[in-house]
Amino acid sequence: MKRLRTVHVPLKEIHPDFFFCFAADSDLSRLMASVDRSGIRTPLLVVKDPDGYRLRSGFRRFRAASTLGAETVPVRVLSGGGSSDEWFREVLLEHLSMHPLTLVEKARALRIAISLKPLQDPVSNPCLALLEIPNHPDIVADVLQVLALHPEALRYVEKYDTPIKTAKGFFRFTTQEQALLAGMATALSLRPIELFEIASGLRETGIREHRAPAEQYVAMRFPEILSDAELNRNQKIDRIKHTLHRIQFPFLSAWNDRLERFRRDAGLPSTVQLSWDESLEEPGIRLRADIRSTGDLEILSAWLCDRDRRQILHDMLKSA
Amino acid sequence: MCVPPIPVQAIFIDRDAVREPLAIRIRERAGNVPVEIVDEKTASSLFDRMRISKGKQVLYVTRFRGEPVKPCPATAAPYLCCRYTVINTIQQCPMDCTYCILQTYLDSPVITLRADVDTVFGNIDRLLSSQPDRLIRFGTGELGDSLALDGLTGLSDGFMKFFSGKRNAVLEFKTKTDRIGRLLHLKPKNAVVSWSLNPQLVIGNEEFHTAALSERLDAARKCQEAGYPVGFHFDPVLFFQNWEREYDEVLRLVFEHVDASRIAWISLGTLRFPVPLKEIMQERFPKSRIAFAEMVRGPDGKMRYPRPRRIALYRRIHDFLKAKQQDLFIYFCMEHPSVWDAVTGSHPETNEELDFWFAQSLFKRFPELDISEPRRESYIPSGTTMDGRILRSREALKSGLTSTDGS
Repeated sequence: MKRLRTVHVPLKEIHPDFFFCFAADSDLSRLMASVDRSGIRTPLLVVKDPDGYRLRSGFRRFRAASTLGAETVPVRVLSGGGSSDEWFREVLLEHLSMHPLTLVEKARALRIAISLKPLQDPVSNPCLALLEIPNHPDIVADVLQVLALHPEALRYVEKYDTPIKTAKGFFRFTTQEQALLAGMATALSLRPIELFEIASGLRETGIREHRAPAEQYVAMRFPEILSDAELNRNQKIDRIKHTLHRIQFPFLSAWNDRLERFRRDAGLPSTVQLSWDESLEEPGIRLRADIRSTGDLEILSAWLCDRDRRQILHDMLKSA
Repeated sequence: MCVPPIPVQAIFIDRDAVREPLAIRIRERAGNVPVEIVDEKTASSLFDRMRISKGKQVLYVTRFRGEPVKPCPATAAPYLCCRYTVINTIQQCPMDCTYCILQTYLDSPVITLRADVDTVFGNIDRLLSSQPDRLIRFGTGELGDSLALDGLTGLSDGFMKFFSGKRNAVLEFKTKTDRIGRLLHLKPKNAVVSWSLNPQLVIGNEEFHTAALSERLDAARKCQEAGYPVGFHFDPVLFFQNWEREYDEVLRLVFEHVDASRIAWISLGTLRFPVPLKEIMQERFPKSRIAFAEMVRGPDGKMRYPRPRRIALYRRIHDFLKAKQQDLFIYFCMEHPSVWDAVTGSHPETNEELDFWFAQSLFKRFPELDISEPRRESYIPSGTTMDGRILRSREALKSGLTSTDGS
């Protein structure tokens, strides 16, 4: 590729071919300032076609030049219609030397690499190593499947630079459900780990109650919570998680409610805290008392000596 | 009603194992099943990316490395375990249970048979002589089914002969099949045959290619008639609608089929699994719903039903069994001491004590097993105190809880 001659061609003769654009949209201001000051230093890569040229690499430079109203830009014309993958590997290397790729960018780059070597088993594509994608067919398939996500989900994955292991969480949902989940996540600025905790809860409780996740989403009144103007972001998230938790853990919730009632009835002095393992796996109850004066000690002693209170503790122990 | 285990479609024999008597026997009995001699490298490349369901059709006979006789992997404190010793001659299984831990536990998807049985016997001998005063319970059904391939391997014959006359050993053949034909022709000696039991509804939905409940119980009856003590494992006990009625029916059938006084042991364990198994279950068995039940993550990292629910499940089965036969030896597999307390009124202080309880029960109830009278001090090392164990358990619980998801 390095041997290709650089020529200047009119910008209007270059047509972007977005299939070959793998880099995410990003702020162009610094690039535009540089182009404005010094012009385009690294030529665009194009192939010749009957209408002029089709852009293969340099999409951001192309946009910057277009925005600045440039008449001509420097290009190198790939021979053989750009069907060799050598140029693409060099483009990738150049890109990687400046920025690591996000998952979505890797997926787009992989799709391009495969299209340039259509007869080769994708697992042996030389670009896999450059993209740091393990050459396992399931992983390659997963990375490519990211591109089939609903556009809103794809934007979400791109925004949070979600790793494939996490992004795969979307695969369990229909595209309509992906949009619903990504919409909720975007509205509440949920991080992927929070989103997929909620998503998997929706799915699993849905399976238990014979409902699709989208139906479960509505049945749990998530749309109402999201549009409730009285609640701030954190309150909405708490409400959603609380609602989900009670549906996910009805048995534990009822058990903890019973213990909570005991705690209320116990009339705890302000210096005493009573707790238990809410998963109920660790048996028993924990009593913590702050004793800072003899008065505190007297209060605790009186509380523990009260027959009714002790009975409540006995009852709690049986339950916990 | 029986859906037989998945038939072996191909046999591969490791070049290094080809002269082993077990390998020769398998070649003789292979019938129409193709047999190929391969080297280790070829085998691993063949099996590397094989799916589990495909691997269940392949038998690989090898001299695989690794210790074949070792303590049951069990689970971490505070849960109590029974100090079982596993003999890993066979790994993987031609049956297909949705909840099977082997789906995540084993690296290789194919049924792998250890051909150098003499090495295995040598290791067992060394273990037995290192602990002559302890009754050691061995089992071949931990990483596979003890009897599913017995027609092909004939391993039961060798094991029975080997264990015969060992005064500090009992061998358990654990199975979900009714393939007891070979056992019936052998003289029972220091061996227990046991079955994993569940309601037929569960067998139909979750335990594919296994024998029906009635077939397992018929086989148990035949083994008892032939002189074998039998055992039963209610494991995993599942929670589902009408579970009480379904498990009552299983228990009723058990007592209808076998003499309860001749049951060596019964274990109870509710469904539990490491977190990664859930995904595999969803992928391999999308119709199965058992992984979606309400579960919590225990201090050992495994998912389980909440403790009060487990207690309710156990109590029902335990009380039914005890009402029918007071001296039955019932134990819990990987359970919390508080669960033992809630269901039975007490718990062994340590795993060693549970091991001792086993030996005591077998010695008293099965004189024909020809085992030495167990002495407490041979099982419970001095210095193991109740407080010590509880302290360790609490530490483990605490450290485990810090890593849970809080659910």
